[in-house]
Amino acid sequence: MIQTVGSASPILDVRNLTVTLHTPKTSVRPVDRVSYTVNRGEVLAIVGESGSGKTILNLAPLGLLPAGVDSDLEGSVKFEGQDLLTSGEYKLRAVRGGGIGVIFQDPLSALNPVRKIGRQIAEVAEEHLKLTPRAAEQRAGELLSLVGLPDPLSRLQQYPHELSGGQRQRVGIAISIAGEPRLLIADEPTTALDVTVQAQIISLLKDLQRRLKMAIVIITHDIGVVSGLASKVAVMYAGRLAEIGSVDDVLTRSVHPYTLGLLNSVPTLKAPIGSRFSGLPGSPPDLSRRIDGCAFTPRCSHAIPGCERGRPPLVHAPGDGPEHLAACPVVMNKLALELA
Amino acid sequence: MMSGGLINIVDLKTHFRDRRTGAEVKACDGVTVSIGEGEIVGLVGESGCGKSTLGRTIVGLERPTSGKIIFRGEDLLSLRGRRLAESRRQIQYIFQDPYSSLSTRQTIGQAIDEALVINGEKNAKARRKRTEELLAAVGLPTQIMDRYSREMSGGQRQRVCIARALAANPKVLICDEPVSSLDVSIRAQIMNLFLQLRDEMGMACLLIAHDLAVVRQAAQRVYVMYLGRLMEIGESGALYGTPSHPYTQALLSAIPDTDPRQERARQRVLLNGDVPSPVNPPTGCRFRTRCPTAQAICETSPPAKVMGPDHIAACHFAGEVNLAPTQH
Amino acid sequence: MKAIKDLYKAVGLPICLLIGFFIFIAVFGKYLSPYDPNAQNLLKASQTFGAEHWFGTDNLGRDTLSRLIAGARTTLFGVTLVLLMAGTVGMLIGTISGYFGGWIDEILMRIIDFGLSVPSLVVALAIVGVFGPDFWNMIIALAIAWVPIYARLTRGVVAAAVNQPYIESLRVLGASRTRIIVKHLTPAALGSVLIYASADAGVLALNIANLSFLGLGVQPPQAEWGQMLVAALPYLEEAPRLVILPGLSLTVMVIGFNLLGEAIALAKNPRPMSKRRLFQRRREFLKEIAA
Ligand SMILES: Nc1ncnc2c1ncn2[C@@H]1O[C@H](COP(=O)(O)OP(=O)(O)OP(=O)(O)O)[C@@H](O)[C@H]1O
Ligand SMILES: Nc1ncnc2c1ncn2[C@@H]1O[C@H](COP(=O)(O)OP(=O)(O)OP(=O)(O)O)[C@@H](O)[C@H]1O
Ligand code: SF4
Ligand SMILES: [Mg+2]
Ligand SMILES: [Mg+2]
Repeated sequence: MIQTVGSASPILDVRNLTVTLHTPKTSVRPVDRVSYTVNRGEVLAIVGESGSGKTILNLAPLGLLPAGVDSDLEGSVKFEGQDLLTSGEYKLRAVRGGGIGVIFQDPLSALNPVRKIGRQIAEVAEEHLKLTPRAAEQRAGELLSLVGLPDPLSRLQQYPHELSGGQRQRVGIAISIAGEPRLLIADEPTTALDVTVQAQIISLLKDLQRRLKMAIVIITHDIGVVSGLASKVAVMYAGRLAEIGSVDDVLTRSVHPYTLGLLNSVPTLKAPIGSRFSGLPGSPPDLSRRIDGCAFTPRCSHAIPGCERGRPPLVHAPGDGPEHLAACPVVMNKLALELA
Repeated sequence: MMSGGLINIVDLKTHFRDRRTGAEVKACDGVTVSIGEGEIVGLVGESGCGKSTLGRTIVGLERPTSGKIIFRGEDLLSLRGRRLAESRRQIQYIFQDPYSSLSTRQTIGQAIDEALVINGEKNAKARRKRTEELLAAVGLPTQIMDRYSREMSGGQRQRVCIARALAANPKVLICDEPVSSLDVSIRAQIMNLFLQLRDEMGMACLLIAHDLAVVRQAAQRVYVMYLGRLMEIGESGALYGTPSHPYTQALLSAIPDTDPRQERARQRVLLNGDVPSPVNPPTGCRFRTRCPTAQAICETSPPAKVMGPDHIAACHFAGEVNLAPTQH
Repeated sequence: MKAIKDLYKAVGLPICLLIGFFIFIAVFGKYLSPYDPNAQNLLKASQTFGAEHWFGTDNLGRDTLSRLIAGARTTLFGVTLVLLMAGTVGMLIGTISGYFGGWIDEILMRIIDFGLSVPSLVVALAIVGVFGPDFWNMIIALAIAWVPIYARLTRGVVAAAVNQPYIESLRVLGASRTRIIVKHLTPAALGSVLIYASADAGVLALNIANLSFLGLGVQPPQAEWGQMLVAALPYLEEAPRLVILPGLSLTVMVIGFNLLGEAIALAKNPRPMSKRRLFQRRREFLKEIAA
């Protein structure tokens, strides 16, 4: 099945995805005409403000929305050629955990507290790889040692609460790769963890990605994680893509003022001790309202009178790799002038 | 060191009894910290090392097992009644989560007003005026008074929490991860507020955080904690520039660089395994089970080695090893 | 004021009217009822619906409408008394238990759990059995039987709130124990208690009628629906209205309170939208977005 799709075509192709959520209280549009692709074996990092739609962008097409929320999805999300938006629940179930593995934002909530860890991993292997229970159990042991848990065989018999936060996250990763996915979606896999454990998890993900030749989409707030793991970065602001491109282009030759502001807000070990912190003024827009023009305008130091009219399109950044796109005509024009 | 500080915490121990097993959790196990007037002091360490326990014990939310908390020359643990309440009031706490730090049934104005009532201000007019001043001090408009906390963003709520703490006219703020639940772009606003309070009001702060870069930039001095004990103390520049304890070196080397080119070239010390349980901490040096340089001698308690002025590391090999030459 | 408005919005006009009707009758019944509910007139006994006595009279010639109105008063008065007593004592126990925790909590909750494990009506029956049938004995018996539920409910809310940062920051500010309990913990629990009580009122009305029906509660000649039912049973065949009318009143009141409780609970945890609502919502939102 995998072979029918040429290896040159992207494994994930998102086109003009728009997600609208309706709850009894309100309606919001957390994803607004977003397009991007992920190639085989590539690591795409999605960064952006809290509430900018990163989780919804990735989980809504998989049918993984919180209960009590109605959603409208437009556009297309093709995974290995199959459009997830038109697939029924039955087909989606085969994709989730099978072709696409998911690591959830909160490691504890993704684990069943009253079932043994071994069973929880084996279950996924049984369902998606059609293994016998015994073979699946053995596979669970292998996976636990693959994610670097010491003494994996005795861990199989433990319950989630007997593990530390970092160990739980490793179990979460083991579950998400138990179905041998070709694409792994990791929603903030390190946010709740210490720097030391975070470093362990990042090097684990890197290692898994190399060995299993998986593509990874990692959602994170942490620019440090992005620069250590990703090959490509997408920056989201208010449900829209502000900038996308290779990790070097986006992080070192940023174009969009939001990306610049975000990078500028990250405290580094280079800032003078005792100096003021730099951040962004204001707060992000309300996604239940119509947003005219560039969503970043009210907080942007580069904004000019035209910015609040007409949503700026994603266009190629002059002088950079072909994949480096950004949605800010103001800075783009400046760059073009400098080049000329 | 710094024994003349505004607040001196001496050999403080806070042990808990585990509800289920009855075992003694040595969350904070002999910590000495001093904070000078108008000084921001950082406290860093991995999750579960006892940072919050230390902070909560200082403000009286946990009962210490032993030790001293000397505030303006008086040991709080030997004070009672009015005198204790007077002193306690001057040490306020900022919680990590601004969402649950405010009552859902009170408007912002009511919350701050109540803090002023508790602080003994009887005149309603005076309270209102003071509320306005406090809001202005944290950079919020007066109109926000009639709003409920649910109608505000995380950054605004944290400002309200700070304003409410200021209502008690504190000399010290214990800030427990005050920005880690906020968005990256908002964090700077709150951190700068602390710097401003220090500069304008001489506020002293104990800044508890696990973001090492934030602590470095804001704090004059930094304490590194591991499993209930202090590992290293030093001026920010010295501690981050020439970390002497293997644990500090490992912590610093784990911070990723935001520049992908430097990140790829970076050397790091990956610590193996997890932090041991505070119920049965390792004998001798607490870090030895994960320490890459551990030797047999580490089973005996390490001496506090003086590495420089105000720079102390508790390691047998302090200053002799360098696990990751810092490029910063 | 805003709370009342929200409540009205959540509950809706029909239920408000229904509950309001019963309360109105109970409060102003004295001035509304055409006759003294206890005045016997054997000459006018056992009349059916008519102009003089709209709902007829019973075997002693007492006006049925007046007795129904008086019955509403008795029932609502009883329900209110029981809820007030059980709620106050329950909240007191629950707050102490939740606030102090530790062994105090342990002991109190053991007792409460025992109380909860015995059906309330059995507890009430036992108490009335010992102290004898009487309106006040019944009220006290029901109140005692209902205390554990409110204690448990309150304890849950208080225990969850007491370790919340907003309570802890009050402690750091130096707030007294009394202030924390009275101004913060009790109001936090009061919401849940009121919601529960609004649904519980129907069950209590039924229990008062039950006990009176068994002769253990309201004693004749005081008018009460359950008591009216017993008195009317021997005449079931000749005058079914004497059984049907109080039965119907009771049913409507119980349903009313149930609907009230349900509506309030629903307002707290809204159900997903209906298809029609969703469709409307989509249209509104598209208009907003594309304005
Ligand atoms: N269950 C829900 N009900 C209503 N709105 C929701 C729900 N979940 C998300 N939203 C809305 O969708 C928007 C995007 O949410 P999403 O969880 O995708 O953000 P995110 O970028 O993942 O943020 P974070 O970094 O905080 O995880 C939010 O602003 C919120 O308004
Ligand atoms: N009330 C309590 N009863 C029992 N154990 C406790 C209690 N509070 C904290 N502990 C334990 O004490 C240790 C230190 O906890 P503490 O919350 O102080 O850590 P921390 O350094 O603040 O961690 P984090 O960075 O995750 O906030 C932990 O092992 C914790 O499980
Ligand atoms: S388009 Fe205008 S407002 Fe938007 S980021 Fe560029 S300069 Fe700023
Ligand atoms: Mg998210
Ligand atoms: Mg903590």
